[in-house]
Amino acid sequence: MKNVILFLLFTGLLSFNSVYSEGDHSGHDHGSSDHKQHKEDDGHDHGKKHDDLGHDDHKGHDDHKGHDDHKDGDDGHNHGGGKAIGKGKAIVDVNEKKGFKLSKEAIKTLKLKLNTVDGSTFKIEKKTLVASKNKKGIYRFRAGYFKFMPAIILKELPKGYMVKVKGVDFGDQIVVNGVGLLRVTDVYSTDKSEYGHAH
Amino acid sequence: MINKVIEFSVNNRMFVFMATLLLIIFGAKSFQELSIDAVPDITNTQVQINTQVKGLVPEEVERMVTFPIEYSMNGIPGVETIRSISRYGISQVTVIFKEDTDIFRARQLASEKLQNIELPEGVVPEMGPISTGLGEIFHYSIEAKNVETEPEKRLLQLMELRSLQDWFIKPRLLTVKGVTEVNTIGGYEKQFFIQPDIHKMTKYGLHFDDIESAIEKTNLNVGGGYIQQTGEQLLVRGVGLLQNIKDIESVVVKRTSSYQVIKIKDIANVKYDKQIRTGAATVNGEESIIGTAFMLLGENSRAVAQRVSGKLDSIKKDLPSWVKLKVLYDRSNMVDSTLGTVEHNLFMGAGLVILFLLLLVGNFRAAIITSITIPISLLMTFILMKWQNVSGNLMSLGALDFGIIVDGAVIVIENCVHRLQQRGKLAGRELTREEVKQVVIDSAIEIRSAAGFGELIVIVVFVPLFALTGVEGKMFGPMATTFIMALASALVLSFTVVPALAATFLSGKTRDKKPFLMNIAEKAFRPTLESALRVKKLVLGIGIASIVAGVFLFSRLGAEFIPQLDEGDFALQFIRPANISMENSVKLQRISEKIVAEFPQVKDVFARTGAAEVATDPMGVNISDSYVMLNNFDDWPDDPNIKNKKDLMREVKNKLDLHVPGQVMMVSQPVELRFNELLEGTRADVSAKIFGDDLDKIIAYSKEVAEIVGEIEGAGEVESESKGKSPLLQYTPKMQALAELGVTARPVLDAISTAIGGREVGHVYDGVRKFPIVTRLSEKERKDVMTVRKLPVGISEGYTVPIEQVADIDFVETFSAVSRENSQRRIAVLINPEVRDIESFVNKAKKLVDEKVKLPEGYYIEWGGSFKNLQSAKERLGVLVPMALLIILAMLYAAFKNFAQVVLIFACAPMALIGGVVSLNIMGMPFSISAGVGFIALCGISILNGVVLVTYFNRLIKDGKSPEEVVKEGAMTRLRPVLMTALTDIFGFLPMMFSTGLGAEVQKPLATVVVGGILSATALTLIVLPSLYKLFIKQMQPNLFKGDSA
Repeated sequence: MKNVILFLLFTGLLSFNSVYSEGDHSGHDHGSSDHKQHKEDDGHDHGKKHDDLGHDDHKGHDDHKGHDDHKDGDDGHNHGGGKAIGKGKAIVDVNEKKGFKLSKEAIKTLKLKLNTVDGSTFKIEKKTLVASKNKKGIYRFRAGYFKFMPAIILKELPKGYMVKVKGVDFGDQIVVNGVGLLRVTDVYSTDKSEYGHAH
Repeated sequence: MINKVIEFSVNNRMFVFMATLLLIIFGAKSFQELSIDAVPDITNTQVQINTQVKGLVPEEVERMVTFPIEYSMNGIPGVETIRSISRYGISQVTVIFKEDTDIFRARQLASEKLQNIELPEGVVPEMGPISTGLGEIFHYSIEAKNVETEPEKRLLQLMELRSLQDWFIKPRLLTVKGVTEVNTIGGYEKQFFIQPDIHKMTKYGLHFDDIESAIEKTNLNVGGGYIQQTGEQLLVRGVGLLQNIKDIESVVVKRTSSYQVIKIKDIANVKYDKQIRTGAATVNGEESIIGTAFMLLGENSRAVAQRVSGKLDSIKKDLPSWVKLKVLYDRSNMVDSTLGTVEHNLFMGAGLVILFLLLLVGNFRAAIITSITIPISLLMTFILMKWQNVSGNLMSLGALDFGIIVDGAVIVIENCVHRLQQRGKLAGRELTREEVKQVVIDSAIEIRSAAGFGELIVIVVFVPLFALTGVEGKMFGPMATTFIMALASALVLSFTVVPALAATFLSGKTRDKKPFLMNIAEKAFRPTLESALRVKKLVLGIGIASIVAGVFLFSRLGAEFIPQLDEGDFALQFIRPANISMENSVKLQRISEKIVAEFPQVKDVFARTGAAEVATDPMGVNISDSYVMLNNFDDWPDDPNIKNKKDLMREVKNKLDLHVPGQVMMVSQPVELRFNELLEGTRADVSAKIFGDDLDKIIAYSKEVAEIVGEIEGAGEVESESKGKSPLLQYTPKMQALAELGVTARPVLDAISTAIGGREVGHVYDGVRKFPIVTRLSEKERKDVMTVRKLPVGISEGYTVPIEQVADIDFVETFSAVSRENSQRRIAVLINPEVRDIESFVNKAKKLVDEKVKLPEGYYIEWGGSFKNLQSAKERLGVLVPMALLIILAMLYAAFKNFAQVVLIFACAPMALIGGVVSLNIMGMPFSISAGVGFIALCGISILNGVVLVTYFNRLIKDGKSPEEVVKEGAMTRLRPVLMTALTDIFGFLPMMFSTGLGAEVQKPLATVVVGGILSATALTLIVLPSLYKLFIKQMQPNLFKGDSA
């Protein structure tokens, strides 16, 4: 009888794995609660965190402490099942009203240059104007956020345009170089039709 | 029969030695001719049908091209699955046939069906190259030594480089044996552009057709036959072929009523310009041209890659001095590195086996004789592999353990030495050569049942692996075949060459010297055994407890199919918004590459963005496949953050994430990427495919699934395959307005196609090279929405209207791609989990998705990836392994004719499993099919030990010894052969267990299981088995005293 038990145990061993593998695997479930906590800390709520940093101007981006602490890429929240937005990512935050915020490294990478304007009507170079389907506009930089602002072309100049942009005020900055890739970033981060995730 | 073979071998030693010599020669030759690769080619039999379709959006491509092709392919015999993808301008249908289908027959059948399909005018489907997932064996780039910085000059430079690739390098590479296709991506095809000024065209009342017609009428040579003179004959021809930009500019388009001649230069600018590209290539952050050599199905990748490399070396000499040809990826390097690991492990293992044989046998000649069987059995295996067309790779050669292979020889030679010593002692003198021969024959015959039977059992346990099909069959079939071949070779040698060598070289003075190690082992073993025999029931309890513990630990192991092979380099797939332009996608790619190239560990980084010339992989322009080639690990600088490839991949990803916005990336490996694509139609290790009719719905579900899966711990990269819709500028002819003008919609459509898309109106020839002449608006005008509203549409001779008068112009949205599988639309969620326990991860993901995503009728989710192979393999092995074990039981019963003894021997197997399970746990490895193969081998080896021990016990019982004497003397006497086989098995696999070379990760689970298992099996067999034998002696005795033996 004992021998029979031995035999049964042995033959059962080979098929046992499939039965149990769908079950509890707590042995491999290392620190799941820690992980969740981590995601909650660095996840959807990133907007608030960076508001506190007060990016009033371009230089403000140098204050992005903590990005360098990023170690394994888990900190950033993946929006829409894979979008790289959040702490430690090039797009730090997306806000429907304010626009999107970039890391200082991303600003450097995209070679963005800013000019300060003195009102809603100003001259721009041709390369500053963004064309998207029927829309024309410029990128405003305010409080650390970039936002596409539709523009009305008042006059075509030999090297540029005279435009009027509602929503751009005295002291605001506009992007004068690197708008092509900035537009791609904007589409990536805010266009719901592309990735389908609302922020 | 075997007895006669043994006798013959000893009595005809010269014949045996000559035959062995021949075997060695043939073995060496077979090795040279053996097909060598890194891993088995697991790609299924498939035919790709690629169709270029201009001007149709994905849904139209699906309806008008993809579906008809799919529909017709469905009827072909042997078709298993059909997948397709429809993108803007391209359709790709992949027809997957049953495993045993001949690829050439499959292509023939597909080709016949293609002949009868009705497709839109001008649409011609083409079959992809006869290649597989391992087919892309060589990448090279063609670059300028000094890159031009001015855009115009750079454009010309890229055109020249592309021409060199298309007309000089590619044709020569196609002559290399084993190369089926050379695919090109990057640069610009040299094209002559006629860029009309629409204002001037309108002014002269010219249509786009007029330009085409003028070029057609001018750009030709004609023959005038010949004329005869007095004694000669002269051939006549008229030369009109255009040769350069000046010629094109001079072509007359029209003569006005005022006799003003309008030439092309009067209404258009003629220049070289950028074609509308579907793909681009970049190398280390600069645009470049990349060529990829595809290996013909069934060829030897290492050999073909080496031939391509050789050919490129000769081509390099003939290239202009300003051109630089650089090898980016050479598969032979990966194959060499992987096989280098195998070679290192095999030779290290063989060395250790020989060393331990020397230490344990204590007889130098006996040890050498046993060791000789290692290379000879390996060479015999090469002959059999060549005969059976089994390629040498990580899976086939990597599973060989010389320790296991020489077990039979070890048992035979140990018995010979033992018996010679006994006979010598009995005779009290040196034995004569004739006596030595007789002793060798007798002792080989005496032990042949145990040795042969045991090895036969090891072979039988491997048989179920042959029943595996699909990917798992291709992966593990060669492993089982090679292992059985090696084992069978060694078995044959142990009854032929080993006795022959023993009879020739073992001395008549042979003393059964106890080597130092054996003395220690015996001293430690004797008291342990005696103690165990005193507490037999406790020992039984320990045995059962260890088995129960093994079962418990085994059930807690996670599972993966096989460990991921480290290819040495890695791949990054960048996915950007669907509506990104080629220009911006390339810009982001160049930025990304420059960041990656900053890492000192990186040798080269290159990428393909969009689809290549032969669209084997029809990616959109928003996707870039980047290959990151690494420097030799020894050359890596000391960096506390980057100690290995995994660290580097993490740091690269983090840096890219922080620096480059607008893209997501998935990390993979070059071969892995292609395998996933070809096997599952997706580019990830795991995919959740959502099927249904409504694209909007399945896209929404895919995003929902991606969100849910992304939240699971260890999900790694999770990405919906769909990037939603892309904007489209759509012209719809106003039928009413056209009717009033009395024209059809054709002139409107022609104007769009020519002015915006570009129309080929002729060619300029340069020797055998030909370059298209294309009519198209300038890039500046094409970009301008206002201009494209004013396109002149010819409605009658000399009269045009702006297109906005006869067509509605709107921006609409269209899907960027439509994927189908088995006649249904599908979107996949791509997942590259970070965890190794893929099975548990997928089970968790499935459970969560089933709970949270409620799909309507007609919609369903299928999960794909390597875990499916694991499930399928486990299902089959779950049935077949117990069947094989039952066969072994029957074999054992036939041999021992005592059920109690059979169960006793059989109990050795679970006792071995505990060690395997514990060692997997210690090494932090989940269960995998590689580990499963280890468990299978363990069953055989442990039963072999049991057979050896019980056979000896039976013999002693037959000699009239008491049960107490039997187990003590038996266990002590057989300690040496059992230890010898165990230690040789362990040391044969030890280098593999701790190897860090390329490909080692695939072999490690197998080695870990065998090493751990043999440790526990040996300890438990030597202690538990004698105790149980004595404990249940009453159940065994009746038969034993009847005199049965194995």
